[in-house]
Amino acid sequence: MTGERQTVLRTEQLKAFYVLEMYGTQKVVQAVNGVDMKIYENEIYGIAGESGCGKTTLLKALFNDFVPPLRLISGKIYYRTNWVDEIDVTRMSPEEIRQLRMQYISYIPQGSMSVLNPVIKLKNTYEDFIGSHLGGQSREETFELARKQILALGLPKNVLELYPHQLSGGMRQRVTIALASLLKPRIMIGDEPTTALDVVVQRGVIQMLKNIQEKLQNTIILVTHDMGVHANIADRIGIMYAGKIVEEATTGQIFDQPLHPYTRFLINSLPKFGDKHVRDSVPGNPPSLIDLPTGCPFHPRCPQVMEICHQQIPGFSYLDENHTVACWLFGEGIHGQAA
Amino acid sequence: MDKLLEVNELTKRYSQGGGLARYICTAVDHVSFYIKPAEIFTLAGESGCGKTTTANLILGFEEATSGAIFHNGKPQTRKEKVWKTEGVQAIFQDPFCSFNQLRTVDSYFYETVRYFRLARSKQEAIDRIDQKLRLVGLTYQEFAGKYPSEFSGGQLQRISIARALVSDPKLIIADEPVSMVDASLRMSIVNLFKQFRDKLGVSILYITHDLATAYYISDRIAIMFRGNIVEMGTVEEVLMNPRHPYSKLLRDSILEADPKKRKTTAITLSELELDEYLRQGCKFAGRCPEVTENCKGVAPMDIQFSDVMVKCHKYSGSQEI
Repeated sequence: MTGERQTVLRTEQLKAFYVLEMYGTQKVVQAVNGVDMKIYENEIYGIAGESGCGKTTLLKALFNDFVPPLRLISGKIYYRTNWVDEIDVTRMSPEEIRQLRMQYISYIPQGSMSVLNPVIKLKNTYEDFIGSHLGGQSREETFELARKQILALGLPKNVLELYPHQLSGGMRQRVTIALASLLKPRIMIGDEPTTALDVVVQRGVIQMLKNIQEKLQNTIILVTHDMGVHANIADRIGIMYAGKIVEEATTGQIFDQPLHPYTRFLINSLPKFGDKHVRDSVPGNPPSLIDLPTGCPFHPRCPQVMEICHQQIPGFSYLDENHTVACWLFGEGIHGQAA
Repeated sequence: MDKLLEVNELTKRYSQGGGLARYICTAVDHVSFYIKPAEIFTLAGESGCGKTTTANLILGFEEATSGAIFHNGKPQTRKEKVWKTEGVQAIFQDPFCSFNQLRTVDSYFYETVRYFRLARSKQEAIDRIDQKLRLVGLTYQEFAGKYPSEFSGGQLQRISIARALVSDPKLIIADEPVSMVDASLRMSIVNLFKQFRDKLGVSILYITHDLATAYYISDRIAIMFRGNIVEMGTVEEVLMNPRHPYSKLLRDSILEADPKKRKTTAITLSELELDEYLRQGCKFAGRCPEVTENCKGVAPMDIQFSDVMVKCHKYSGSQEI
């Protein structure tokens, strides 16, 4: 089924590093280290991995937001903005990128408190936002647009008259999502939108994301370390480890037959109701992205480590149409190419 | 029965605004519970339900409006606060905030040792600290003289747990210790709590909104809603067979890591917290699917079943199922 669908976003050997220079010595943080991904229209793509594996940096790169010390080292990012051709966004001018933002691709940040301006009412935030991305509207039209959208998403209509601190965390996060979806973007990128929310609110936010996706038929790229969220809404999941996607498959496959040893640890460490058996967490600490181990970056923590893992980085093995894994246990794989 | 910590009818009211706009918000409303030795007791509920305020009251960071806290049978007074005794230690949510970025992490350990006079020489102190660090999987060598920025979040949280263990406490108050830590490290931290209970006989007051880990480690649980404990009992009973409509909602909201158990039904979220706090009668009446006229006017009483307590009108008149 994926063969028929069009990609909306594609990367080729994307490398984005943080380059820090201090007193003449250079430190390079290899946060995104050769990522190939294809993201299709009308799907929810989940990216999972532990903190410090480069998830957020990957999102910044996909959003084409390279602010020093983050630098694009090599690779390409393609958007399919006009439904026919792919455009390499790494070569666009800042003004062209700015015009794509929010209309083609939008971003839901993690801390909703730091997004909404605390000293102005939410309706003025909406005004700012619409003014800079659409332009040419009168104030009344802007407020009308905001009011319509707030009502359509089932938020109480008086929120527009309130300041951000008067809202609860969950409500703020929902307003942030509402803002990100206002101009009906084709791609929405969510960076841990439900972390730090409690269970009931988390479920409400997930429900809202899902509703928006069904209504707009667009693509959501969702980063979170919470496998429960992925299990509930993602169609496909990519598991990220040390700047690379190590396994990619449909949600069912990731949970039922995880292949990469790291994915298996992730899935098996989750607590389940009705089962109090001791669950092991992933042993050891995540590798430092400044000083990566040789070969497969997971080999120091892997229980099934082999000789070759110490020396060479595994390529991608295609197990079926949707399932790829980068691990020596599953054959040599193809270097520099992925699903 | 032996009670390590007992909280009796604890109440905390905050008044907000001035003049005619003044209103009183009861953040913790006649909360009573106890913790036995070597037991993990969980206080769960959504954000803004008063669980952190309860912890702050126990630790003496805030003063209760009414009610009493007994530690080992002795009441907490203004002079003798629970957190100033070596038997009770606390762990907080954000490890990056609990350590001052400009101080080395080991200075916190020495401070604790000095405060409770736990060692007579420097070497004795180091031995004690090293022993505690080994319990959480670290060693003195890899941590001495370092600043908080040199550790990852998971390591820092384990260091703050080791810090809490330095004085050999009998009770650890852990306020959302895993909500800032990601899923794979989360299990390593809750596994530590399990070990402490089983091997060191430490009791833990585990405050969380993550019911999956609460189920995994705790013995008894209390579900809080807008300042009230609405259901309390053994974890098996409360989470596997919830009685209160709010516990059912909570249990039903958990996104389980299983694609076969996707949520298909919609839920309603509360609009404004304050309205619920100021509500007369049962505070859950605005969202409860089983609401009756009675709920809106009269606050429900605690109803005791064999090992569960429920605060709901639905069960009044039926003391035993």
